[in-house]
Amino acid sequence: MFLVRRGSIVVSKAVTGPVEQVLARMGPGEFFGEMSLFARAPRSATIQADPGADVALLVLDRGHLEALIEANPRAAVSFFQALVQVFIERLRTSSNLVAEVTRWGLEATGLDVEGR
Amino acid sequence: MTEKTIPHRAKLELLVRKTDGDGESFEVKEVRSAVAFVQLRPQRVEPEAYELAGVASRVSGQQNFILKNRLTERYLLLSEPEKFLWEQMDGRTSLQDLATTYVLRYGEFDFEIIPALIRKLQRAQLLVLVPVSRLRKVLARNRTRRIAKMLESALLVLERINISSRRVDGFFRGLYRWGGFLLFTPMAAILCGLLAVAGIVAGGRLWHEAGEVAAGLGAHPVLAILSVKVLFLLTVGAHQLVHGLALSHYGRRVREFGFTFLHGFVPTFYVDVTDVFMTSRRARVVTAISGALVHLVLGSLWFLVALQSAPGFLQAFAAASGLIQWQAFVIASYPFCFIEMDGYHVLVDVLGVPTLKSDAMGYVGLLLRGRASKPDTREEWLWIAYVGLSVLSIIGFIAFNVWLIAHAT
Repeated sequence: MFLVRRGSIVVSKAVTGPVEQVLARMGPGEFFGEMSLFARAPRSATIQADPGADVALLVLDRGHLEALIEANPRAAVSFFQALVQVFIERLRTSSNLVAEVTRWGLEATGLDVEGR
Repeated sequence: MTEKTIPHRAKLELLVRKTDGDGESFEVKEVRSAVAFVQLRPQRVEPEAYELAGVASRVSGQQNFILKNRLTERYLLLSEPEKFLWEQMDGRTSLQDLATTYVLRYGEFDFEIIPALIRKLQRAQLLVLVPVSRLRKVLARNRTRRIAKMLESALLVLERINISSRRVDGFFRGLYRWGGFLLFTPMAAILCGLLAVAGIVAGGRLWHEAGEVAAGLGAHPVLAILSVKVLFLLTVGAHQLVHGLALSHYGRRVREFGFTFLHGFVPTFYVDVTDVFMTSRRARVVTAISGALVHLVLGSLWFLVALQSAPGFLQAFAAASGLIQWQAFVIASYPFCFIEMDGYHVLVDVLGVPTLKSDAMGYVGLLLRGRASKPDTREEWLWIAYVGLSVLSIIGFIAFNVWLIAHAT
């Protein structure tokens, strides 16, 4: 898992050929790559630094997380609670994005849904 | 007072990768939906993949067109403005340009016609917004990859499914060459007329001896009913075969011929003659009538056989078969009975109103509920006449059968 310390990054997902959809932008204090930390799953999106941005990242791997849980369980609980808050927020953002993309599709294709 | 929020256009944020001399880079673009839509450049399919034929309405005086997708065998009814827009969809004209051209040509700002037409064309696979051929090119380029090869094979198999219908067409063309063409000669028409007259005479004579003729079935009623029904079913097959032969006569393709259970329980043969819409009105009328005439000819022949036979089972069987065949002829030819038989298709073709029944039912339904204006146009009077005649015909049919049962008992 990576924590953005400085600069800004773009999170995107492949759509077709060289075109990707921008899912989010992240700045200092935000994190990504948590899937590989908890689920050992392959990456689901592409992360890259904004053009011209000077980016610094902090790394948290599984070993460090286990050490934190063992050494300071209270701090670990606070960490996980904060993580869940971020996941809830991201889920809400994803739902909004799906609605926006659907709206885009309807407007772009001119589909007359209300008239049906 | 509530404050109304102005709805903004939905937008997508896209990241587009580029490879240049300095390596790989990217730029993020915002694409707003309205912009994406008006910048679309729809392209109709290749000229060899479609056919266009004109259909003139004698009632409204309108010229319509039927557009056929030769690959998927789908048909669309286009109005004159829609045909004009279709002709502009060359892959170079954007929707914005299309709308401008439309206004200049028709002086109308009814732009809803454009997205509606695009939806219609896309459903019929007649429009390429992302060229299909590009996929085939990509697949061909990557044939060494298993997934690409599988996809290409799947596309080929789908194309072969269309070939199966061509086998039916080959059968009909062969049948036409080996004698079927004789049915579409002036001599056949004269013979048909003579047989009809002879049938009427024979039927009339048999009617006078109806009681005696019907008594012949008395000994084997179940056998008689079953054999008459089976024989009738076979003649329905002949009826459909002649429709198909008519199609071959006019050089069109028979798309399908088969056997099915209509509404899930009525066994019947069917033939798909949709391709006849790509030819002349005369051809369509002849195709529709020729099938029904099979019953007229067979009915007459059965009556002649019955007239020549001695009283008994054979005579009764022949007379019953003749009666059923003539009934079938009347039902198939009569246009005003709410069912879309051959006669109905002839009527709508002659009038040039392909959606007569649904339009008529819709209008009269609204009229009865008080939600439609009083009839004013020729079309509205036609709809009323169609529904009125159909209702009268059904009342007449029921009354005739009631009278027949009462008379027999």
